[in-house]
Amino acid sequence: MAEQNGAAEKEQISQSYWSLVWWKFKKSKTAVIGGIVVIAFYLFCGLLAEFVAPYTLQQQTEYLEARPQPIVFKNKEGNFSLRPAVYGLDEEIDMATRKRTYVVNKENIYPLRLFVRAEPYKLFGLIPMKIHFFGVNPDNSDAHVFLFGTDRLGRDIFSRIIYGGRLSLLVGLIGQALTLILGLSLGVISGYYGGSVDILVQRLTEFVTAFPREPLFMALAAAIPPKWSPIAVYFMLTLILAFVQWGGLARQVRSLILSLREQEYVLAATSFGASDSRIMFRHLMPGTMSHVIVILTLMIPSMILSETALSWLGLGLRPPLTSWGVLLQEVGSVRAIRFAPWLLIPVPFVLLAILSFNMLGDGLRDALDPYGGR
Amino acid sequence: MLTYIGRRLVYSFIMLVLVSFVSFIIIELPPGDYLTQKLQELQARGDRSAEMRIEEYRARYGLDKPLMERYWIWISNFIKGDFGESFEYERPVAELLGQRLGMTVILALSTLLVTWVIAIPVGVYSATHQYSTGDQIITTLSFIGLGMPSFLLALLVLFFAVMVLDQDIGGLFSREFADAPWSWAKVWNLLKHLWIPTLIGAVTGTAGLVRIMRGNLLETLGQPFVEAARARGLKNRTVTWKHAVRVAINPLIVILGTEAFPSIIVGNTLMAVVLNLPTIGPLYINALVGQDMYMAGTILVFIVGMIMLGSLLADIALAALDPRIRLE
Amino acid sequence: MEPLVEVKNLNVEFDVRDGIVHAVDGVSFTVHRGRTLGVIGESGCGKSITAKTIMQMVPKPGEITSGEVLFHYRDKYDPEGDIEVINITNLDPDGRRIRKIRGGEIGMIFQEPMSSLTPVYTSGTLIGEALHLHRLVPKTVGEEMAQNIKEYRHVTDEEAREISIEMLRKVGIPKPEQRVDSYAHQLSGGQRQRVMIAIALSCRPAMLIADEPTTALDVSIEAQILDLMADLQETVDMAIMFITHDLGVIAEVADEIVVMYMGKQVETADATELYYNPLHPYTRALLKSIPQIGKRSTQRLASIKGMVPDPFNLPSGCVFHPRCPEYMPGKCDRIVPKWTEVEEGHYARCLLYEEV
Repeated sequence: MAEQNGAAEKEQISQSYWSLVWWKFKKSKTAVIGGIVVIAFYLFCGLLAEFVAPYTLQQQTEYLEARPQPIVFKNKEGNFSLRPAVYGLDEEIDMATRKRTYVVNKENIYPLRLFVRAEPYKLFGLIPMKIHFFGVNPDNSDAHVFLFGTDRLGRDIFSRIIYGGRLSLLVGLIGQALTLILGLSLGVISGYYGGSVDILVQRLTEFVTAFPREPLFMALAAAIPPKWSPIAVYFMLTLILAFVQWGGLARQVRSLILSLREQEYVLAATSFGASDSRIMFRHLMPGTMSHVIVILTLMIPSMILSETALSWLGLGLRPPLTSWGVLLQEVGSVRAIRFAPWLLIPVPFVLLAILSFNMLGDGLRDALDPYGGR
Repeated sequence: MLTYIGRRLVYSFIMLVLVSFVSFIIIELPPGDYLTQKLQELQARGDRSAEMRIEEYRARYGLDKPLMERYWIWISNFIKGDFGESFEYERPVAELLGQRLGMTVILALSTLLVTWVIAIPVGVYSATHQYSTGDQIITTLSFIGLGMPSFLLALLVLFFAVMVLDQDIGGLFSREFADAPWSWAKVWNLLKHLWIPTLIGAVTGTAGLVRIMRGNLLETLGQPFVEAARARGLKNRTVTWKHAVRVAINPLIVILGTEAFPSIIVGNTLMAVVLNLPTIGPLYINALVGQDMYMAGTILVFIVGMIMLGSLLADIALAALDPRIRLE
Repeated sequence: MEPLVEVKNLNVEFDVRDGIVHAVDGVSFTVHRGRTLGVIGESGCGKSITAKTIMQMVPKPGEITSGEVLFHYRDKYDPEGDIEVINITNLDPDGRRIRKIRGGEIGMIFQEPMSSLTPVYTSGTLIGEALHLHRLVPKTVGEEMAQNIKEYRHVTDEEAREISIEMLRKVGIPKPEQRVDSYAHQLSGGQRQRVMIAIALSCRPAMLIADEPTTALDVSIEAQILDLMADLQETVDMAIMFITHDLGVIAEVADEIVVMYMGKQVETADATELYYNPLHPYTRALLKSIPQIGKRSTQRLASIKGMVPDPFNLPSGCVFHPRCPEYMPGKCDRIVPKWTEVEEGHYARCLLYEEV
């Protein structure tokens, strides 16, 4: 009788594992905020970039290196209004530097509108649409809105950051998927078989992890033939990132498998005559899942950063592909910082993405290990 | 102890051989590199002297020989100190590298020193004052610092310096000292420039080390030997520093060698590009972008070598400090 | 009998996130000079906390809410001096006074000999650390070996090393001249506990608190350590407070026994009295659960029914009532029993011995 109760209790405990995780996760405010920001990034940049951005990626305007327009709450007559608006920009030649600059013209006020019709695009690459989330009156050809200014070719930086986020964030996801396949299978195989297979995989892991990641993938990235199409370069790059990253995951999975291998349920499965692959993939792998999720989440920031760094240095993605790193290529010099500091605006976005991934991953780690200490 | 170090040395040597091989593959990898281009150019010229140059290169790099033999030529020259030629600068790699290697090491060591000097006391404070306001501020800051890559931070600092202070903070020397011979004035000038990249480079490492120190020390403070030391009548401060910190710091030495130091070297590589420092970082990036592969491969071997040396030194330090390892 | 430590109505509370735990709830007892007090109870009953309170080392977030611990201090280097009564609970936990008492007057050994020695120091260093703090040697001026010189100085490093070797020999460690330079990982579990004892006794404390010193050791080693403690006690005239969950162990060493359950003291008596005439049902249950050699094995070993209650939701009335074989419904779950002297020197906290 008592034993039956015990079994029922155990059942309850194992069922409530995920609800316990969710409960712990919710308790950490930073983790929830991080999670929301990450979801928002993937939603707005990943899925809906065309809709969110007022301009399309390569759309050029006649305003070259224009400064960001401040947002004001005024209507056309200059009185207070709840509807935000932007001041127009006027071109001016700086006589001293012979450089074209823009000054804010407080006479021209362009109210911002929601759901305006502008450049056509295809939502999700399928649905043709013209409506953008916000913008200025499309009938007035003078009206423009550059929240973060424009670049050398007169492209709206705000829109480009939204679009750029798509590739930057996707690098993390695709790269992690590859890392997952490599690291998880090698880790499981190494931990399960032991012996010479284990030693081989371990040495390989050691070698890959001993190599300093960044210089290695910089060198590998530099070896990508320049003739390749940008898309091919993109996938090669993700592959390289995953290739230099999998070692850490494999090592942790291996040590987990080593401890799981001795558990009763695995021994039971073995004694029932389950095949090696069945034991590995049906019995052992699920046990590592929570750890793997945490490790992968915490690895994404370094993937994003690596891509950013590579592209910024000119070793990674190349235009016309646009990622945050590509956007930062424009600020190589002190001169750029002095004359067009708004080109640095992608930096806070990168940092925000990294920080929220770290917050999310940290919260996940604490939550998935509900009985753990710190 | 000696066998331990001996084993480590053998291990490092094997790793270095493997690394040099990978570096050589990388040198050989790009199809459009400088050497190939140069040979094509020379061939296009087609005159006598061009053909002689081609022959010269062929003999020097063993171009018509199989891969392993080419590797052997390269590595034996490498050991002799002949790293090949930078085709971009048209000067020997060794010469270009020599100037910058010293600065790289100085920057890495000063960053490491700052990381260590800040992280240990802050981590100890954080652990001994767990959940206090100070601890919470430190934990939050170190969390943010951990995700703060030094090259982006350098960009922001540069922005701040240019826009707010109206100063250019790049470089390690003022213009008048850049090519001047060493003097006390030059050293002073170096120190005046060095602190900015040092601090920027130390942010990530410090943040990580503070977190690890805090965690380790909290764990150590819960150990019975800490209570036993208190029960012997020692002052709390003595218990913390002489017993708890002394034990908690050992794993940190390993982390210092295997994680902190490499990340400093690598982080500084990128940061040096932003701040235009005379270290091997910008040289490496330039070589890669320009497909100047002998230069790039050599620097890669040096970077890995430095990192391995760091971890070797850390292991020796750990053996010296921890009897459990020393006496094994 | 001369009192050494008097614990009076001690209360220690832990204010944790899920509520307040009364780890020690109204405990009173006296340790006499040169005698052994045994404290027994299940794990988590507050016996270790009581011991740490005597050292003014209550772990965070614990707090002494009431009661006092009186230490009858007599300068061991001045045997004719007066006895001073110090209330330890009033001392600054990191102050000079308590640090003189810790180690100097009260030594302590712990449950886990495996991790009670700092791994990066040799046993000689650890003993020396205590010696430098507490051990004094007479100042000899020239050749005048006067009998009544009352001046003392701290030990030197060489003397500390000599004393360390001497102590290691005393606690029965073979080749003490070599072992003095050994690190913890080079010693066996029993040897580590011997080193702990050597550290604790090196400064000639008036009392030794032994917090489950043999729990982590093999039975044969356990017997050796217990013998060692008994031998040493005879030679150095030292009180021992012996904490354990093992009645069999305590029977060998204690003169007087305190039984604790869920932070409360349920019974206190002379050791023999407690064994032959246990009053509290909990004590009786404990005694029944000791396996005895020679008894017919058909009889099953008695166990205490039920589980240790949740410290945040203690049962009403007597905390033991849900597990008590002599539970009186309507009484035990309503009325909190008082501390009663049932027979002379034999106290219990049970409604069976109260007029209600």
